[in-house]
Amino acid sequence: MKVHIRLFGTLGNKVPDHDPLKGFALEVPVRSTVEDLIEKLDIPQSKIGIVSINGQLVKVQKQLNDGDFIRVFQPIFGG
Amino acid sequence: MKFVTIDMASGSIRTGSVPQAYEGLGGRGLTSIMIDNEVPATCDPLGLENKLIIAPGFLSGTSLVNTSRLSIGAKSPLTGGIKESNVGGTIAADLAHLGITAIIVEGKPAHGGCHILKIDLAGNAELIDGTAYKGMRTYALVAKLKKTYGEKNSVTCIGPAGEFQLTAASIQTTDADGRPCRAAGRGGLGAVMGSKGLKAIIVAQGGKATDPLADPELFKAPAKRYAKAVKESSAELAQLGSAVLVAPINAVGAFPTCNAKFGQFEEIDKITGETMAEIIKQRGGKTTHKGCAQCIINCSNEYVDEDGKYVTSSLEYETIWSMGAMIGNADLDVIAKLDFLCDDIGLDTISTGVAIAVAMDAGYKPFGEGQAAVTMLEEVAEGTEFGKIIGNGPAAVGRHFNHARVPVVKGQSISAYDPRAIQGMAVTYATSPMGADHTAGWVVAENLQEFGGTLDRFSAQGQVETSRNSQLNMAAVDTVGICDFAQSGFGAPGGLANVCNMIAAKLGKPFSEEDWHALGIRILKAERAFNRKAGFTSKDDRLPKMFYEEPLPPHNKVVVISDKEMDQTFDF
Repeated sequence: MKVHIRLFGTLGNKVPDHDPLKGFALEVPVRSTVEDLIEKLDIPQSKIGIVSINGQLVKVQKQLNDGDFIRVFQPIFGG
Repeated sequence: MKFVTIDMASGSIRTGSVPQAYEGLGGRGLTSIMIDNEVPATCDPLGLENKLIIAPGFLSGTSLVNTSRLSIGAKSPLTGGIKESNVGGTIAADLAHLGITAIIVEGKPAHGGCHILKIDLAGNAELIDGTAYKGMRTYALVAKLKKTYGEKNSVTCIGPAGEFQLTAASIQTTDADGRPCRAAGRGGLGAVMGSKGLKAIIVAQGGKATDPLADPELFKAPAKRYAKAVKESSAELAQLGSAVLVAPINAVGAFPTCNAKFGQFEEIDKITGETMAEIIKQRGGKTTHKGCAQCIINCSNEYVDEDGKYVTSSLEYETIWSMGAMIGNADLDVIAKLDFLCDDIGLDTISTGVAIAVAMDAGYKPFGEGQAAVTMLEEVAEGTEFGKIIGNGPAAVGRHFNHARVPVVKGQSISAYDPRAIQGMAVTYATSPMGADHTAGWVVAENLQEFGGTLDRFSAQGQVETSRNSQLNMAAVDTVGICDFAQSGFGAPGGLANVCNMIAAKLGKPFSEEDWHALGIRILKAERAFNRKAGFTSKDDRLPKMFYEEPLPPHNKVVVISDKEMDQTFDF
């Protein structure tokens, strides 16, 4: 199945094909989770803050569906 | 270690050693404790009894990274209470290199006037007639001052808003490239400077009279560890600046939109940090830029127009919010222009953006009309009647339109975290002696479990204690003069002990972690004591009704921290 992912902050720096403004589409096996997807992209779990699917906040264990739009944000800091 | 005191009534200047009562203090600790001791709390903030105190942090001027932070303190004309407004740039390092612990501006000229305070490389201060600079906007002012007095000076100044003594007026100071784009924005201290007839302060760069460390060896290792930890954790800030926060805070539904009617902005993709960085890159601007002396993070940027011409520096998270989502404006070019205008006119971008949002909410103009916002700012500079209302901040706009939806505490607007979606920020906004101020106790990460936080952001549990601890810690951080964004250094091996050892190395006597906490308590006590004397009660430690009564989409929550819980924040 096909999903669309957009990586925020510096998460997409080392991911080939990732457009910082649009993200990119990719094929994943049926019943994949967000966690599987992040692992496939070789991003360390420690760098993952919040994740949303189609605008709804989800846990990384959430299973993906065909056509999902996933946004992944880094942990935040600041003021 | 010396104080430079200027009496604006007589024009006399005294330079003297730091009184014993203030030894070991710098930054906010010094400004707040001095104001509590020396300024009558019931005085007119724009009158002769108020003092404007300008103090670099205790560790400014040392070799520790990211310590060019300046505290400016006074009784605030915006809140009627005590104020410390914090700013970067180069002046804090420059003053410290001249061995100056604080500049104290007292009194006011009987017949107005416009003056420039100039401090030369020998540390000598001189008051110069500034009539020729009267009414100037800050960029032109700085260019003219630098032409006359030389490039190797930092300039700290006010624009027309400060001269008009408007209560959202900022004090601007020059960045590492000599532009007046760094703002001590909060609390209307530009109006206090204006009331004193002081247009600008010029400080020579390259001084060689830094206070010596009592124990230089003790300083070295912790300073190195601290710098290493800051460097290792600054990649996101270097790439996107504070605007890295726009997308995630919107994603969690905590980004106040259209005068805090919504927690998410529909057009967010047009104004995220990622979008900003791409625009800057495509146009040949700078996404990474050093704004402050001794900075190793480089979170600043230079936003340019389609022709690659400079528009503003640095476009920050708070301004992208206040001039963007808060007024329903999704045009980054307009946001950048509004940011520049605020710096040039000498206005706090947060208070001014929220003032515009309240005007739009009251029906003066539709949300999203960026050009209307530009016109409102130009009216401030012109000094029109409506311009003065905008320049006096959101509460003044609310009074003008008889409009109740005004997101302020103690007269000062909230910033880019809605307290209904992050309850910990409700406590900080309500209880900080500064009025609503996100930097006084930023507890956003602690409230978001996805980011390692342990609190439920919609529940009251643990929020008071978390905000209290953060506020006490920040009071100490603002005293030593470490940049808010460089607090990652506290995560270095040794943690807080590194900072305590650096303080001890300068002081020449032990400084423990208990002393650090005691310092925070001492400052908060002084600030709250001043506010009590000024007439504040626990009823002032409350949010406006809108936050208790109007559920915020998309989570549809209200603030649930009770008054009793709010009153337990400072139970000392």
